[in-house]
Amino acid sequence: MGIMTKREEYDGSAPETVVGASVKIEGDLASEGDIRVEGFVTGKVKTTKNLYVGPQARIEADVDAGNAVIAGNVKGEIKIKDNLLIQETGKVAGNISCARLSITEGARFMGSCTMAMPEAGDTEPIPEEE
Amino acid sequence: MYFYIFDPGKDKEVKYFERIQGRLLNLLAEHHIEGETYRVTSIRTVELLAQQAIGLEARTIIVVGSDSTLNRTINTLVRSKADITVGFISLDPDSRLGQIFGISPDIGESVKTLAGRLVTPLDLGEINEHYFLSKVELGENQFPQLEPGLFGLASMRKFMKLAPFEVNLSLDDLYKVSSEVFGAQIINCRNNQGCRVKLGDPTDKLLDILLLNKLSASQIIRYRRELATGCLDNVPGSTIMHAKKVDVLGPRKLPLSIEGQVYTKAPATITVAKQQIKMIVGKGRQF
Repeated sequence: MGIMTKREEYDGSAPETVVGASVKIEGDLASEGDIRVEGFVTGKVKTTKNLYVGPQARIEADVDAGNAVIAGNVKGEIKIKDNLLIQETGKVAGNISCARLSITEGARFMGSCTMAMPEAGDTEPIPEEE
Repeated sequence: MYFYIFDPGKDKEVKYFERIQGRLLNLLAEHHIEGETYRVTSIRTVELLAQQAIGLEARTIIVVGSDSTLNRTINTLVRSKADITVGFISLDPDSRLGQIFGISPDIGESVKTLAGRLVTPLDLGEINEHYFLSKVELGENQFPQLEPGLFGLASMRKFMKLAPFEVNLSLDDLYKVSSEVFGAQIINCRNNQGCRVKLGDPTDKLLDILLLNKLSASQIIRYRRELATGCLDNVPGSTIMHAKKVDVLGPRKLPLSIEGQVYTKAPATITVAKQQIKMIVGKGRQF
């Protein structure tokens, strides 16, 4: 998953939202495009696209996103439709639900994780050894 | 019917206008877009002429003048709820709106653009019943495009004098934003030349909010060239948000200006206006 940094890369999709390090947001931060947080957010964070939480960022909010990379501090329920990556500087306190989860060594996670199990038909059969 | 508002402006522009007037009229006839022409005077203001065009049921008004002439014409049309297409021939070679709309400062090229009649409905920003095409700057810190000078020293000296200020906004009544900033802009459309991020699409029904974080003296020195471009997003760490409605909550009496002119003070509400303006744009437009 790639978090885009330039709006040109969207090519017609919704614009990117960037919350700078000195910015404090209170309320429901919702966007139809990618969200990049480097500051402080309380309330809710919602996007159907990608969310990037920078190393200095602090989020005390419920998070709902398509994909997410967390390198900062997040306290709250986290619902991710596809991929969630918690990087080594990331600290997560709250329950997670996602399709795929990666946690880098050094990251901190306190809470439970719910992942949808692949259905029987989705798994590839193991080839029998001759 | 084409209704031309000729606003030669002052001094330098008048001389330029008188030089090109004959050629311009010939070009208009050549492209079959000639019409009634009226020249702005101290008595016949831009607003009066725009009203006259509405009264004459003109289908297209062509503004020949500066960005300010275009803004004044559009304000009159929107307030009168007139369904008139607007074209623009800039007499200012550095016209920001001309660059945004892809209208060349060359008279021949701009007449060709008008004759091409590529009409696009554009969003307008609204602040206290004043409509704007470009952007609102919050606070006293303005960021025009500057000639950076040798090693960027000229622009650096200017930026060193600026002081950071606190800003409090509410976006779409959904969330509140507070920050100490060095600059703040609410953009409907802008000239994106030299900017890192393409912002200010006047067809997306959104305003772009751009906040430049407080900068230390060493950061001002480091980013002097980026600041001189006038694009706050060129400085790393800037905040970019999008909304249909922005309430500037405070601090009280924070000046809000358009094109360097203060229109109101905080608290104030800036929205995407319900009305759009139909504008003839060029192929080189920035959106």
